[in-house]
Amino acid sequence: MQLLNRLLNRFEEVVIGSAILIVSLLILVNVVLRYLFGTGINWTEEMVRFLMILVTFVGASICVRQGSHISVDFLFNLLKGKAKKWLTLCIYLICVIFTASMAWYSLEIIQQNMRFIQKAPALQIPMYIPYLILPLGLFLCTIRYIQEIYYIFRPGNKPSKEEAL
Amino acid sequence: MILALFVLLLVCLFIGVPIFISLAFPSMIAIMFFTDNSPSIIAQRLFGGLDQFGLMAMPLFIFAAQVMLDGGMARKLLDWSKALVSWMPGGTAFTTHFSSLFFGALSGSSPATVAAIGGIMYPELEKEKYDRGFSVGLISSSSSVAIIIPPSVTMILYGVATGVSIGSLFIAGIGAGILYTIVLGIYVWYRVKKDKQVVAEQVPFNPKQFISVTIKAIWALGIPFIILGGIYMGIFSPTEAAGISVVYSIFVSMFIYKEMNVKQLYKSSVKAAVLTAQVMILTGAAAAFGWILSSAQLPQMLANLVLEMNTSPVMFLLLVNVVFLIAGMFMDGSGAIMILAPLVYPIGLALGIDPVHLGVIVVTNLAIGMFTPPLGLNLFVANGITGVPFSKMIPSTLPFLAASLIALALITYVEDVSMFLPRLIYP
Amino acid sequence: GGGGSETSQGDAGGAEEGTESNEPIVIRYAHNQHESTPQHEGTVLFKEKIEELSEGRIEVQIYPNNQLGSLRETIESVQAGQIELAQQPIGMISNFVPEMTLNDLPYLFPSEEVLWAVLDGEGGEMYDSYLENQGFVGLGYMSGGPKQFSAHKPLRTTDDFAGTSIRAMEAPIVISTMEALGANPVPIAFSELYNSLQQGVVDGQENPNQSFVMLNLHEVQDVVTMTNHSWMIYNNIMNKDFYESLPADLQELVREAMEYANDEQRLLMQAEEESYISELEELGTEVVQLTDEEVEALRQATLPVYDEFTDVIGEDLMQSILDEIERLDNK
Ligand code: NA
Ligand code: NA
Repeated sequence: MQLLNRLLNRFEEVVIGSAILIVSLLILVNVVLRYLFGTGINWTEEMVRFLMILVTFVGASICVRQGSHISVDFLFNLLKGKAKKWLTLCIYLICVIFTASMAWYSLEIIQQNMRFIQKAPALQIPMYIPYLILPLGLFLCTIRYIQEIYYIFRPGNKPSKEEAL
Repeated sequence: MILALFVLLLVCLFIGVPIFISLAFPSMIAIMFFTDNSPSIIAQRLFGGLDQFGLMAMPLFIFAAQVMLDGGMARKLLDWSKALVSWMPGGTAFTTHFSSLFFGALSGSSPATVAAIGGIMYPELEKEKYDRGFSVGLISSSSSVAIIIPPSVTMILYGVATGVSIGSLFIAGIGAGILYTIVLGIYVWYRVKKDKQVVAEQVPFNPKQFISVTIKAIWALGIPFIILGGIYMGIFSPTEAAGISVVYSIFVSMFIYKEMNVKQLYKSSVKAAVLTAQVMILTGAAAAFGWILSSAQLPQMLANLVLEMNTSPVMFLLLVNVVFLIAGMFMDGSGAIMILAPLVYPIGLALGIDPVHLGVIVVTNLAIGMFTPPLGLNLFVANGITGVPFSKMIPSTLPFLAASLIALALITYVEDVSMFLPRLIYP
Repeated sequence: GGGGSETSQGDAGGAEEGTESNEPIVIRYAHNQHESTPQHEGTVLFKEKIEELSEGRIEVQIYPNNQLGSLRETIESVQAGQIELAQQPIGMISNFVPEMTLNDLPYLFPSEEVLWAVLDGEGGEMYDSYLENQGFVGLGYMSGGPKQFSAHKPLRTTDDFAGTSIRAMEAPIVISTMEALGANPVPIAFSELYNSLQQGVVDGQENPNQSFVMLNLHEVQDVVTMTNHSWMIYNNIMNKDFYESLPADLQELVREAMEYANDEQRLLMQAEEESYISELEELGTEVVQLTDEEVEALRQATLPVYDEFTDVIGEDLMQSILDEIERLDNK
């Protein structure tokens, strides 16, 4: 279980770390090509967008694990002890209901795009491929929220901050 | 339906549900219970809201700031500011103020500037026995200029939300950001002169040392010229400028300063990617929320309402300031932009207000909101790195707040402060 | 619920009163243009006509300016039934219906008359059948005007195009056309078009004169060359399931109202096109007209594009439309 968790962490980090590096390099290559040869790669822009969407959704899962999603924690900081625990549970329940439903409903978009053909204009790949980012990221978020709910009741099992990068 | 949507949004925000879910969850509920549509539209908007090329500059500037922070460029910039102003009375305070300006100018992220500059300067301010409240107020307010001076993540978001040229916004931010820095600087100068508690040792100006740190910092100092020069001379677009500044920072950190290896680069990439997700997911969620508002034709209705009230531009700008200051106090700048900018932009346009000027006003408000009590991202970060309790921080940020409001009034009602440069460059 | 009071609630069996107080069927009609354009006017004409013809049984809500999502997303939403109706450029629809790439072949239509004759006739029928396979009902075509090239100099010949960098949409056929003309196509997002021209990231662009005027491109471009190399055509597409859920008489009325709106919109666009050209000249933009020989030379240069896209479009479809165009042209 611990091993699986660590593998999952590593997977998320490698995916988003390399994606954001590739984006920077792609942009550089495109500027250089245009400056030297007056032309560019026609799929750069589209690829950059899809990679950043990948970074966002997989990164969102890491944010869940780190508890770093931006929120208004005014009330949260006022509460102590039991009340705080129940509020946390309540927040995480809303979150997990949302991410799980969205992971499910995003499959509808994939289905639609597999039934009909829709191609990404520049890359000319079927659109369901980039759309797979949605169920992937939202499913990861769902797992993370379930983990967090588990840690509310078993705080001893929560990995330390360092382990979570 | 709209009422239910807003009530649920406010409840979620208040109890501390992450902002992106506070936006998207009520949208999903609204679709499920009030329409025949499938909630898959929310998933489509989460994706579609991010699927805009103009948005890509933001994560790249975040990435560049992270590399500068981890690769020694931020530190060299700070040494340079110190050599530049430390001969003045209150030199360390001014060093903090100016290095916030310069690092903020590079990074485009205000909390990142608090962390970078505050982390290094706070111990020095403490060593020289500055008032702790003053130091924290200085750090959290000076850093807010980061989102006014280009490049700015918040300006990019405004441009994406409204379709206003990001290049022009950047140019307009120069004047506004400089004015803002000067007004805050005057207050710092006043405190240094008047306040007995704020004492500092004066270090005489050392030209030799100044030249040596300038040479060391020259690579970092070059970034604004590369970004603005490259955009202005037509070598690359604002989005591409962000990508170029990433590659440039990596190059300088790894091969010139040699303070970064491949492993550290990987760590910086992951950190930047996580910060990216934090902000970008808000954009996707705001797009989902916005879809419901648009499909209920709410923006048009609101715009018509304000127009029918015969609001004068002066009154409207005052209204914008009040609304965005309040929003900035309670929520993150990116969230406020994504929710509010599409609502005020068409009204401003109808009243004949330059959309670039309006953008600068909105962004300045949000910059101030970042250190306005009770809730301000900069205050939290400053609290984290200095350990000064809120009860001590909050009273000492108030004078900085007052100074900022003077700057805001000038930026709002003297259009030329921000619009002079863009009109000169793009007649 | 309607304005029903206690009496109508108690009167459960009152079918007649029920239909009278029934909410109208709502059609959400999305497009990407500003409210000041003939394209928007076309959607308003449809709204007025269908609301009149159906005597209020149908209500149309118009969403201009991409309010419900980008072009791509809007088409996807129509396909999914999240939006009932959209007016979308054929160039975007061809990402869903590759056969319709045909319409963006350079110099396909010899005249505007032939263009409409093909789209209202055999060509349109074939497109409709492909649209239907993808979950759409095709409701005819509105006009966005012919596309022109602009730059800092006239672009009369392939020599003029050589070495000129031109902003291109990401569509492969647009890029191939520019390459065939000898230009360097540079893919740039529409949102960055003005800035890129202003800053000199690229030398030129192609769009209908309408976009040129509305984006104030005269501030950053000197010359518009009237190449008329292809047409910006907007297709009205409706969600198929929604269309089939309508009673037969309403289906008929929808078609009738849209046919009326399409015809009127094309006339509006023609009138507007003339005013765009005079506006350009007033703003100090040079408008270059090409001779027949120059047009023919450009057309010849773009012929390889036809071969390149035969497989995407389908050889049979391409041949039958080309034959049809030739027949209509000789008429
Ligand atoms: Na900045
Ligand atoms: Na705040």
